[in-house]
Amino acid sequence: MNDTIIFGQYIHKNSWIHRLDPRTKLLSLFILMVSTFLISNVYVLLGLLAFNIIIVITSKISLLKFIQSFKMIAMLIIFSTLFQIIFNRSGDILQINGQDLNAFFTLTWLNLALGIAILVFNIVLNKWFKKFGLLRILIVLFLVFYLQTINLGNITLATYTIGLYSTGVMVASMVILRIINLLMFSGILTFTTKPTDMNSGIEGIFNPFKFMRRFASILGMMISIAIRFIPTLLLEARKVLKAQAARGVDFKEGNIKEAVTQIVSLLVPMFIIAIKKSEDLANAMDARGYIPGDPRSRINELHYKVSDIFVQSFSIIIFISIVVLKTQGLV
Amino acid sequence: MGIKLSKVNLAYSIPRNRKNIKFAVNDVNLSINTKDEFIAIVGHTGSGKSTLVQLFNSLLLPSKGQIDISWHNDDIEERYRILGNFKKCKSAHSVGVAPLKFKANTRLKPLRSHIGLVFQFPEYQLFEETVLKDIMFGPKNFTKDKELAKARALEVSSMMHIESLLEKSPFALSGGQMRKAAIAGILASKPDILVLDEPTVGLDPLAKRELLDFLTKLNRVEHKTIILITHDMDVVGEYCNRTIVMNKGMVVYDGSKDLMFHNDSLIKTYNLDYPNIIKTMINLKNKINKPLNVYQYNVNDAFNEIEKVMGDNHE
Repeated sequence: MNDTIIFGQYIHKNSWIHRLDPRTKLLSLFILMVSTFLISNVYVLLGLLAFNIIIVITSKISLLKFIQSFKMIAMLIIFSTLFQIIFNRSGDILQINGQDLNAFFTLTWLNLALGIAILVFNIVLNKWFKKFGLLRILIVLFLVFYLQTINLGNITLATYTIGLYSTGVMVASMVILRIINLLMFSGILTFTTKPTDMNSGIEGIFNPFKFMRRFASILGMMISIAIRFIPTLLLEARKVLKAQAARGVDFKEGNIKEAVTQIVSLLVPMFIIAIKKSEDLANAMDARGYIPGDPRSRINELHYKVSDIFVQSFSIIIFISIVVLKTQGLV
Repeated sequence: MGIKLSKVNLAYSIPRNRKNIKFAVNDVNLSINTKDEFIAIVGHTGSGKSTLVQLFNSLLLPSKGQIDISWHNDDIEERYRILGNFKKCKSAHSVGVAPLKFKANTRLKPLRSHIGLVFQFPEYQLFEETVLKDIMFGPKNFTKDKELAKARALEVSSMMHIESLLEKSPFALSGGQMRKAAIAGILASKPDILVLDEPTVGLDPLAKRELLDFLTKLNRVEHKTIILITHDMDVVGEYCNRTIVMNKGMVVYDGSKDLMFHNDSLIKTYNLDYPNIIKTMINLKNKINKPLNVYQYNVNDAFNEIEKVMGDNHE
């Protein structure tokens, strides 16, 4: 069943970070993520990025995998950068060869119309040609702004300047570096930890707290059941989809009202199947004596090793030093 | 008229190098009439029975080969020819919703109303507020005519004696009633060929008999072709007149049930079984040592045969 759907992003390799205890990984990466938010110095963030890259290289997972995950948030990065550059005007204006780095824009009716035309063209193009979506958006943005540097027509709507100010650039690069660092940390966790290990890690972390034990065991069981049932439910969804297709359901035709009926014809049976399956599972678990929070034996016991203690203390040292430096106003 | 499969192959996943492809349906040649057939498809689990019947109404498309389907619709002959396509098939199965991805899907609608397919556990496809609405769902999709759909739903429900259920919620019914309502939902679109994937699994003996008798009536009175996938040899013996045996995706036997049960080696090779009546008759024959025709498929025939052989001297 697991051949059909690969859940999670776990990549099987044999490296020191794969062998670490999941509790260590969860805790230290959580600490490091918090420290990422504490740092507001671009150079320290760059250092952290270098540290991240070293971890990634030693984890034997291709750096390309991480870069692929940046694609998801590329839009976020582009817009936060644009936002900072356009609206943040404190600090000095940046200069190259004694010349200010700013551009004068004139928005005329013709510019506006052309800009809208380009946007519409891009949306139409998107329907037929799905590749290079990000690149196209960049080209569109460039064209829309570039048009405004040329004085077209004579009825001017507005004139404005956009310049590169030092604070804007700093804040933008800080935001980007923070996001990239966070993504790298979470990537390291998900790429090197199996969902089941992650789950027992979460349980293991909460286990020492007596009042949290029940909650942790329920949470852990919930997560593992959810993961386990994704392929099953997808299989069921396919069956229902086929059964409804045999009754003439076609998701590609019809007006909105018909489309809603057709989606309902898929959703209602799916909910019923899910509820029925969960009831059956609950009964089966009861029948086998499952009581949430009670001590249970497990196949894979978690054990702290020397490397775990080393990694854990290293992350705590980094965290403490960042907090200390922060109070001194250094990072 | 009917369904004709020629050298049809289907693979759920095709490796990039196109070597060692595992075919779920392998070089199948079949022809099925639009009228008056009662076919049982038998074979052990994983032999490709369910995959084969999904090819009949193009819920799955073949990877290789050709499927011709034709029927008369008010004196107009409708013809469909579905050609196997490796490439399309691959993309279709990787997303799992095979035919819905194709533009041809709308054109496949008449085909799907002509060949009704009832999946295993069809009660899971019920979703409307009332049974009537659910039965109307199929014909409404196919004909786009609400009044006609309602008329057909009422007709089918009186045929299946489920009028009393029509205003109830489908989720308030018992398992057997749900199964009936779901089958009515398929029948309401008036298919000429009705395919049922293990329809009797999980039904009590009475409901099972009722359902099979109803299917027999459809076959005898309305001259519809019924195709059953089943593991129950009693059903095969008593109700069907043609059997198709599948093994590893291939059709290994296609012919009358009589010839199949006469063929001992076939039954043994493919782990099939005799109906209980035949088993009893064989035991009886061994015990009394008289020339008894053991191939009887229902209780009355068996009784008559025994009476004939024993004469009046039964002890």
